Amino acid sequence: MTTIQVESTAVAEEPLQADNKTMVRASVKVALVGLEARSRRILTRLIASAEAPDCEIVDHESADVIVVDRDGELAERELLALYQHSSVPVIVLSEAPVQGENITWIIKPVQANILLQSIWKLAQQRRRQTLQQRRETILAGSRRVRREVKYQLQHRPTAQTASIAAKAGKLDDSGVLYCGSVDESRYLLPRLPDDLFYDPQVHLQSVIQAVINEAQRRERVVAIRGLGRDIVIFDQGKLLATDLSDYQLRRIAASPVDRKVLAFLLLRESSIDIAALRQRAQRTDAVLWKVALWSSQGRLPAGADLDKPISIMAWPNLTRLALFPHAVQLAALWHRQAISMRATAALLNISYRYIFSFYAACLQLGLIRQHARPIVFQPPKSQQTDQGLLGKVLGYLRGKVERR
Amino acid sequence: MRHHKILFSGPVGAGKTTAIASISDHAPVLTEAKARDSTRLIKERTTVAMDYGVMELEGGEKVHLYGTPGQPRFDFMWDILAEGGLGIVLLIDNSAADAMHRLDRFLRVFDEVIERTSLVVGVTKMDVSATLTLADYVDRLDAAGVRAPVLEVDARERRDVALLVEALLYSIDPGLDVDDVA
Ligand SMILES: Nc1nc2c(ncn2[C@@H]2O[C@H](COP(=O)(O)OP(=O)(O)OP(=O)(O)O)[C@@H](O)[C@H]2O)c(=O)[nH]1
Ligand SMILES: [Mg+2]
Repeated sequence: MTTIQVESTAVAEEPLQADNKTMVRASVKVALVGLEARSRRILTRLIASAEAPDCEIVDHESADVIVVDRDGELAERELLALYQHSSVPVIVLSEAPVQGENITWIIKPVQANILLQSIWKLAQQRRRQTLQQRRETILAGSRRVRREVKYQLQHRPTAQTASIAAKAGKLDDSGVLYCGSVDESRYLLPRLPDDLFYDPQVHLQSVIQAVINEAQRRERVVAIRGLGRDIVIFDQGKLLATDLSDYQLRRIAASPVDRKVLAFLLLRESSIDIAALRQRAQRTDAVLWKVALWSSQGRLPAGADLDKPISIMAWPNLTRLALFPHAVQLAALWHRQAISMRATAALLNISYRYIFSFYAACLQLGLIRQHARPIVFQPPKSQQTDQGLLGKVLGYLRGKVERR
Repeated sequence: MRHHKILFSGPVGAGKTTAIASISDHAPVLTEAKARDSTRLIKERTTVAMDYGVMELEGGEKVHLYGTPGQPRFDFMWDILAEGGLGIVLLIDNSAADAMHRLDRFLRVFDEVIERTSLVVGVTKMDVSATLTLADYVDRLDAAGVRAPVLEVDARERRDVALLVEALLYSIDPGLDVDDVA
């Protein structure tokens, strides 16, 4: 009997807690191995429709959790391969008990909530390990970063270390939209691979920036033609109007723009309906910010140095800019001190994807400053606080706020 | 159970009362009265004692939100209110003709409080007037040696006020997640 019957689709009684700190990606990636067609369909539907955990089905190479049907035809052979080569947790569905390191047995017929809970638990465990490994990898990578982290810790603002961000609440898809989906392990290679860099100069962000500068300098309205629809920049470069949707802009920003197909038009204010443009205008700083994020996708602008201390001269105006995970936290850190991106990753223990995207967007807005050595600008205030409290307040604020 | 507080301050009409109402769990306690003297030229009602709201956290802890009255004659209250607080949310009305003056005044009169306490600056009513930009405020703060987040907010928008307070929290501690390294 190889068919899987799923009993009761009632998912976990208590809501499963999403812990932002351990969530590297928005959804859990599940691979189904050795299932015959019907079982596969049933499980795919079950897993894909689950809300908590939010799952997607992938092949076993990129999975967080692998589900194997032991009684299926392929199972024996594939199982063997998985046992031997995978650090990924394996859930085995079978009538008879199965034991082994890295293996969780679920008896058939499979109960939906048990399966989903196991998937969630294992995925979280795995992510926790990944986090631990990430920090260790970064710190092991260079003596310089260890020295810097030590220095930065001497100036830490509060004594307690329980993370504030652990309380940060719901994840949204902005992480993937703005910070890409490059596999986490690639960020931790001893040398950052070339494809984790991109050149802002050949992307839409630089085209828009150049036109903003031109509109300011000449005090004229300038249009960019050649991208399907015009982009019009006016009001001394402060406002931008276009019929291109965000989706279309994102597509354009994703790869280098061919400047040869572009034309730049100086327009006379008298020849256009400024009032109508104003109605549907966006601010250019907000557009530059999001377009830079769409191009960066978790990649670093060419020439950026992971080991050079940097800071931001002012906070980006985050109430009016696209938000993504850890943006507020990074703004606070980089405004408080000059710190390298490597030390940032080790200290906050967050993925480089957020750091690189934040860097790319801040750089486009001209906020990044380079420093010769780490400095803390803001000495700790004497006020008494503990991070547990800060985390709770954050939970309160986030729970009540729809994040964009 | 410990009590905590966040202080909302800033000149008359900056949006303190409105901001507290935006993020408070209960309808805030207001102590507004019909404006007298020169304030009447600016607005109909003004805060005469202080505003009060509260955030009820999980586990029963509370964060009290106090709004200082905006008129200079109540300045003496700020020191008392700021004592032991998590931080100060300073709101500045960008549409006021003397907005920058008001910031200067705040920085001068409350320099000791700022020294001790974390600060965020919310610039309100940018939709009404955008003559001054955030960069202008940042420059002025820099000149006074004050390093604080400056964000545009509409005090009527819960999302804006919540993000401003979030900026305050992370400024107090960016959430370092490491104890020590070998
Ligand atoms: N257009 C606009 N109005 C705002 C904004 N922020 C606040 N307001 C309005 O400004 C007015 C004044 O706000 P209050 O909250 O009374 O100001 P306050 O700081 O408490 O003033 P005092 O108590 O007199 O010191 C209210 O009508 C708010 O709705 C904003 O960003 N834009
Ligand atoms: Mg008031």
